[in-house]
Amino acid sequence: MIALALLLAPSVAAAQGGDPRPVEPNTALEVSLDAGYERAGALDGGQAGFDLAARVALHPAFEVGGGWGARASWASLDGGAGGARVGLPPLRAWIGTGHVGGEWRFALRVEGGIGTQLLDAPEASSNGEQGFLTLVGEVGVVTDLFRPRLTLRLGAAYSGALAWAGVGELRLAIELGPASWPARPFAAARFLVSTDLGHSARPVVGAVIDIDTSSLALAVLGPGSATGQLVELQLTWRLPL
Amino acid sequence: MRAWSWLPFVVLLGCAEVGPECAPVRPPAVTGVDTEGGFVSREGPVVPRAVNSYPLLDHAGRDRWDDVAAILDQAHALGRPIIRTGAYMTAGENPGRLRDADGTIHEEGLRRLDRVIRMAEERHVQLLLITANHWPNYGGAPAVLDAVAPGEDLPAAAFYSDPRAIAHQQEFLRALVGRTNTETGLRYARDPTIFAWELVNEARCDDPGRCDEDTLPDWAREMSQTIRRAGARQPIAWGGQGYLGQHGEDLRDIARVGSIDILTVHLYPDLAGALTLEPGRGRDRLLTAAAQGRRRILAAAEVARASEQALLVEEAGWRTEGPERDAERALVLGAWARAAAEVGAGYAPWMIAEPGRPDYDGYLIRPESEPATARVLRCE
Repeated sequence: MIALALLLAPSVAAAQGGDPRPVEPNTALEVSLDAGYERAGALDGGQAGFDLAARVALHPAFEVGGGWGARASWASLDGGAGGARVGLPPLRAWIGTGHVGGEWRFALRVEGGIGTQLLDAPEASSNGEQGFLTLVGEVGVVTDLFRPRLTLRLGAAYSGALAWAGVGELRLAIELGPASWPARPFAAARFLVSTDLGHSARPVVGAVIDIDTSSLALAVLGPGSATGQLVELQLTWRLPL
Repeated sequence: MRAWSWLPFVVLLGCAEVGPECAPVRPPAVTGVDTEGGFVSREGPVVPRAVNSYPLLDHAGRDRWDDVAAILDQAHALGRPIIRTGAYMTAGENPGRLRDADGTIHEEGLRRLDRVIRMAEERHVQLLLITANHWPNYGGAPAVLDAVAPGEDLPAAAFYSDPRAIAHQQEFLRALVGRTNTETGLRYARDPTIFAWELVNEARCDDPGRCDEDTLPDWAREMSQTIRRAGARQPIAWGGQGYLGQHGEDLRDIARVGSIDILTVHLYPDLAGALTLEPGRGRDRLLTAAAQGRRRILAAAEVARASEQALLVEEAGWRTEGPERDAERALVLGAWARAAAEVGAGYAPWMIAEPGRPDYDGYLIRPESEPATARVLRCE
């Protein structure tokens, strides 16, 4: 029944490169869920997150947006201590610009976030940063049969007294299948380099599913050597407005 | 009253478990490092179980001998009978200072150090004595530079490059290592209570006008040879943070010096992995800190193994606030302890002190009120 509904659902062709969000400025609500399991030596752990974001294209070439969420995690040392907690990632906002030229899509966004110090509750922070700033550049190609997407992200975060951290990420993805298909597979590779964790690569596979006018992306991320992450599931639902 | 002080109680739905108790560990005294880079005791191979506590000489200078005893007893009770502590206090008014502001040896301070060493011996605790500090705490490198070049306002990098500072530090090392303890009659150079001599705490050489890739290795060679020539039988430890090419320190170059027995790593991942997922999501700081620390320990162990030197993870600190402080610290320090054990490295969490001491920087471990962390110190 569900499969039939999916087959009959009209495609909105918004997703690009396995990401339900188009490269170019757009207006939508997005809900993301993720959960992962990891192991670092004798430590088992997992984390799950929820994020709600809204973006508004005030002009075809200009977008603003913001989002917030919560994260839960647990960790357990073999035969030793263990614990679980829930924390808040930074409240974030961005501005972006973009351009559509034939099959090509371009975007550039500047995103900043402020940690829970804003709420005078630094201990509620999910990972300790007081703020972060990232620059994201994206290029996508939209054809009827495939939709590749290249994302480059450069960022820095500040945690107060002692530490800055920097990160660079390159994500290369391709979504396959005619845009009219209500469910389309994609594959991606993420290459990361960060000042605190060194470099690593992660494989990603998944599918984008159109449901009425909205898009749902299910992604399975493979091992991340820098962190001990073994598997992670991400679900992103985009509702165009 | 903070406007949002209720927030943690709503958000932090934390829970924690301490873990099962363990049999008390009573490791034998470390007697040295073998030719393959393994720590040894009279009973055979051993992995040093250590802990940091910098205020010993400070307390000794202020006649707070009960506090000195309390710290030594605490280390022993935790099954970590090696304390890493400073033996470099310079200038200031504390009678425990080992050098005056003009650089002359302060005999009264050395006598107080004599007594600290005797008290440690009585409690079967060994001391890892740090002989210099890059940072200005207790004088450190800046005080030495003021002594050898008054009025010149030399930068910290000069401590490793200025001939006057190098010669002065060598003179200090000869006086310290060659000393005979007035309380025990033992020469420091042969005293088994002194587990090792450490060259400097957290050396950095960032000044391009004074530093190149050879500056710290050359300095380390000079100092370690000075200690050896002064007759020291104990191992010699580096004391750096274990960087592989940052702040003028490359542990691989230090390993090639040849006259150092123990390579060192310091771990303080206050911000770990904050951006390794999509912007705004971040990662859980505990899991990332555990992974990051493990990677650094394994990388340093690779250097140590290749050069057949021992490895000591000699500062491992986790700063956190809130009701989950004890559980968080136990997880992170415990994970690093396991990683150090994987590679046979010694391990020294930062840090314990006398009961009632204020937590000035968020790193103080209070075993009496932090059961999960205390268990890690005892059992891991």
